[in-house]
Parts: sequence; C-alpha cells; structure tokens
Amino acid sequence: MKKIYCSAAVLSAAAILIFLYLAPQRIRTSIVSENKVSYEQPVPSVAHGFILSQQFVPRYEQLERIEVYINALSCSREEGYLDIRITDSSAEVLYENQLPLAALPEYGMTPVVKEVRLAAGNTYKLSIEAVDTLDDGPAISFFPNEIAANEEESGGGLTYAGQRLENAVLRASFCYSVPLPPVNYLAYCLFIVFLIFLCAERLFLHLKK
Amino acid sequence: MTIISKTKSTIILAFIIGSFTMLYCSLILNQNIWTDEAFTIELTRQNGLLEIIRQTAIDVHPPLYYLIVKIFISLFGSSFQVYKLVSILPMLLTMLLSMTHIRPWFGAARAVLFLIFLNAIPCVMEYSVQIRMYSWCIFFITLAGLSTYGVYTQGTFRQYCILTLAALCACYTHNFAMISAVFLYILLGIALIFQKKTVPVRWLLSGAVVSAGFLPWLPVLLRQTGSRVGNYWIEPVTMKTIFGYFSDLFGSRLPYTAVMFGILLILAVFFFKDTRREERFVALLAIVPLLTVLTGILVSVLITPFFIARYLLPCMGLIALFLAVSFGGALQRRASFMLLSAFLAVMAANAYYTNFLLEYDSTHTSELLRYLEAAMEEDDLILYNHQEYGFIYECYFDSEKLCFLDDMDFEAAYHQIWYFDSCVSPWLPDDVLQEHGLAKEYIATLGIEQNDFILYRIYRK
Repeated sequence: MKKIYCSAAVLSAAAILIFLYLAPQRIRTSIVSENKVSYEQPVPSVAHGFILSQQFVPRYEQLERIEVYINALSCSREEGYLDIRITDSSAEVLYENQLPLAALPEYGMTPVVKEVRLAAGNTYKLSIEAVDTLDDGPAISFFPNEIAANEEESGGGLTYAGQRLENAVLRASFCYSVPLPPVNYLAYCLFIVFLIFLCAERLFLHLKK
Repeated sequence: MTIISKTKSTIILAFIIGSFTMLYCSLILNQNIWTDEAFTIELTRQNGLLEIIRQTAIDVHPPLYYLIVKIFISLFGSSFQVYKLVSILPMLLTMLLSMTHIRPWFGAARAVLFLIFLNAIPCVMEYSVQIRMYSWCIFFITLAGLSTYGVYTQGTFRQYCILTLAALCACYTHNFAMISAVFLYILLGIALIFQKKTVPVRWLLSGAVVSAGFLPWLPVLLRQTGSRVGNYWIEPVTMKTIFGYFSDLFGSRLPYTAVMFGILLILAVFFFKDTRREERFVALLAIVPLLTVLTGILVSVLITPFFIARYLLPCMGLIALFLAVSFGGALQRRASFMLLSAFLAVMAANAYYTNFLLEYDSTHTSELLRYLEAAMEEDDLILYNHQEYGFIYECYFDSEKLCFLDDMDFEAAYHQIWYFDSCVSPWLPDDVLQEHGLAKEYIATLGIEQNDFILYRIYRK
C-alpha cells in the first residue's frame, strides 16, 4: 500500500507541474467590457470611403473578439464585404479581416475582430469600411455621448468619413481572454490529485483481491 | 475509514452546518434583487393570504412558498433581509437532514460529504439566497427522497407520514417539484413491489392522500398550463439548450467546473456497486432528476417550452445524496476522502465567492440607494421611462414618489425630479423641459438590478 501511495504522490506532483505549465494557456476566462447605457444612433453608411474608426486602448493582451452593432436590414447583402482593420499609432496594419456582407446577421452585436494579440495600454485604431457593395452598406451604431464610453474607448476619438465626431463613441464590446488568477488553480490541482489517489486506492483494492 | 464517535461527528456536522449557514447569511446583507424576486415582494407585501392564493392561480407557480413568505413578513417585518432569510431557512433544514436522516442511515462520513456536495454544487448557493421558492423545493424533495428510503428500508407509519407531507408541500411549491415528487412515488412503488412481491397498501394510501391533497390545485395547474401554450417566455428547447442544462447547474466562473462534476457523477455511478444492497435504492433517487428533465423536455417539445435548467434545482439534494452515498462507500482510505472533501470545500468557496460578487458587486443598486438617500429631499419625485421596471422600483421607493414618464405632470408640485433614463422609449426631449422652465443635470450612470440608467437631476431654472 505504501508503495502505491508513494507512486501516487510522485504522479500527483508530476501532474500538478504539467498542469501549472499548461494552465495559463489552456485554462482561461473571458472578460467583457461593454458600453454604458445611452441613446444610440447609426452612421448612415460605411461604404464608398465613409470609413468609421474608433481609437481604443486594450486593457489586456489577448483580445478574443471585438463586437460592434451592425444593422444590415436595409442594405443589399448580395455583394461586398466589410473591411476591418486595426492599426497602431504609426498606421501599420496589425489586423485585417474581410467580413462578407452575406455573412452578417440582420442586426445585432456582431464580432468583427477575432483572436488578436495587442499590447495592453497602447493606443490602436479600429476602422470599418464597406467595400464593393451595391449600396451604402450596413448601418453601424455609435453613441453620441462620451458617458457611454467603455474603458477602452475612453479618451479616444471616433472618426467618420475623415471628420472627428465630437463627444461620441462607437457602440462596441471588447472581449478578452485572460488567464485565471493562480489561486483558482488550487481546485484543479486538488481534483487531479484526488483522481490519482482514487485510482491508486482502486488499484490497491484490485491487487488485494 | 475510521469510525468516529457520535459526539465527535455531531460537533463536526454542527460546525459544517453552522459555517455554511453563516456564509449564506453573509450573502443577504444587501439590497440586491432581480425581477422574479421583485415579483415575490410585490405579491406578498400587498396581498393577504387568500389574495395570494388567488393571484398565484393567475401566475404559473403554486402558492405555498408565497404563503410561507407572507407569514414570515407578517411576523418579522418586510425588509429584504427577512425575505432572504425565508430562503435560507430551508437550506438550514436541508443541512440538518444530514444529522437526522443521513448519519443514522448512511454514517457520519457520508453525512459530511452530503453537506459539502450540496453546497459545492454551484447553482445551489446562487438560488438559495434568492427571494424565490427553490430552496424550499430542495428541502421538500430531499426530505421526501430520504423518506422514500426510510419507507423502503423500515416502512414505518412515521416515514409514510413524513413522505406524504413532504411530497404534498413540494407539489404546492413548484410544478417541477411536483413532477419530481410523482417520480419519487413511482420509483418507490416499483422498488416496494420488487421487494415485497405485492402492491403495498400503505404506499397506495400515501399516494392517494397526496393526490387528493393536490386535487384542489389541479384544475388551476391545468388552466395555467393551457393558457401559457404558445405564449410563454421560455425559449424553445433545442439540442444546445438540453446540453446547456448541465453547465447551467454545475458550471461556475471557473472553466471546466461542469466537466469536473460530470466526472464525479460518472465515477459515482461506477462506484455504486460497492454500496450495501439497500443503499442502492439511493441510485433510484438519482434517476428522479433525469426523469424530471426528460418530462420537462417532452412537455416543451410536445406542448410548449415550459422547462429551464433551474427547475431541476429541487433535485439537487438528491444528487448530493447520491454522490455522498456513492463516494462514502467507495473511498476506503482517509487520504482520498480528505482530498475529495478539500476539493469540494474549494468548490464551495468558489461558489461563495461567485455569489458574493453577484450579490454585492454586479449592479449599481447600492451606489444608487446611497446617493439618493443623501441627496433626495422630502418633496422630490422619481421619474422613470422603462415601464417594465416600475414594479422593481416600487420595491425600493415609496410608490407615491415614483412616476412613469408618460404619466408625468411637470406642472405638479415637487422640489426636484430624479430621472432614471434607461435610454428606451419614451424619452424626455430637452424642449419639454424648457417649456416648463426646467433643466437637467447629469449625475451618473447607475442602475437597479441589471437595468442600468443615466441618473439626471431635473430642477427649476
């Protein structure tokens, strides 16, 4: 029995080390940052050079997604796409995504950016433009009120067709993937050790028979 | 494992029960409620016992919980804490079952495991501090389940009486608790027929008493159900929702919590063969939640969506009992028992922390109340534009001071107005204010429940 328990203890230690090595990448949680409540209105078009851009400062490195409110009910979704870009302060494109209009829902919060790693605390610009559309493209919502800004947009500027929209922010939510605080690993470690000791106990009982 | 003395086990169980009760109590020292809780408060504050029965006949749930609440608030006052204590009381009673029923029948180790399993299941702590009927359902169904075991193993008149009473109370507390109670009776009947090779008369009598007792409410239940066909708020059941039930009940803010509980349940099924013969009846009790969920899905698919994950809460005591009896039988060594207890204690702490954040840190309610308490004067009014939330605001503020935007007379006598602008229709244009010589000042973005709004102060220029 002693030998089995010793083996279980060694196995547990190894399993915990492997777990602690893998956990920061594998066991993560999501943090969502949303706008505060406010009345909203849409920009009438993001096609034909009417680019809508919002400056933002991410709070964490790993952005799972950025969602914006898109209303595609009154535009043709047969052709064209939304060109989404994230640029840094030197205008270098760090992320680009072409979202076909046909893939858009009729309306609602829609993920336009997925899985991107940025430097927390730096300023970036999210730009949205509809390209090759049959009409003005979908309407995208903003809040004409800076009190609606989430932490990322706070202090940043919203620009539409080259013009700065004063006292306005994009209706957007920022979803991050962050590692769990290490104290939470205790639950997983205990579970792993329990399973290993349980197996050891069952093995002992089996051998005893 | 070592057998501990009765006194020692009493001290351990009392300590665990006391600790969890204190934790529950620490979750209710706030002013946080959500829509369903506001419904309970509104129904019980404004109506007498008979009117409550009449009103619940129009709603979807049976009246017993509301009647219990009414009695308590009549005796102890209608503060939020009294309402929330009414929900903690049955949790305490359920935990006491570990001393009165589980320890004598299954041993002290399993009684300890039952307590920790019960409180470690993430959804239990969440709903047990809410001003709703779920903790009472957990108590009635757990008591009924344990009584079926008592009936199966001892068959005494007392056990039958407790079973009958607990089942009847469950039926009058929640419709899905009633379904669970029905399955408890059916499974007990099958087990008794196999055991005694004849149809047990006492079981038939007990079932008949419960049926007769529920008969007055049956037409109401059928009418309620009929009137909700096609127009109930619950979303249609899909495969995604069915798979979601488990994570809704056993998931928490820690990723993979539901997976860990899933593994424990699978292991418990596997280990059940190690338990004593009569203890295997507890495995039958664990089928009750399965049959309840199957009934819920069936009703939702065939008639109208009537089932959501939290309607399985009444069965959580049975699941905790099943896990405790199974693992209590399987764990032969102190090391694995202590490891499982430690893991469950951490999960209970996680459930507590999650609910602490939910109760104290998920809304702006306390900030708003603190602000208005300091700033509001005698002749002030509260104006709001989100009509659906009017009855929630009434739980916090004197209804005479509350006014919905469409009903507002700006010429009326008041000192100033506190405007909760939820940014929905109807809205208040600035020119209307100007017409009446008023101006508004932005105070903050605050809220009550999950309904955030912009708080403005409207004053005479």
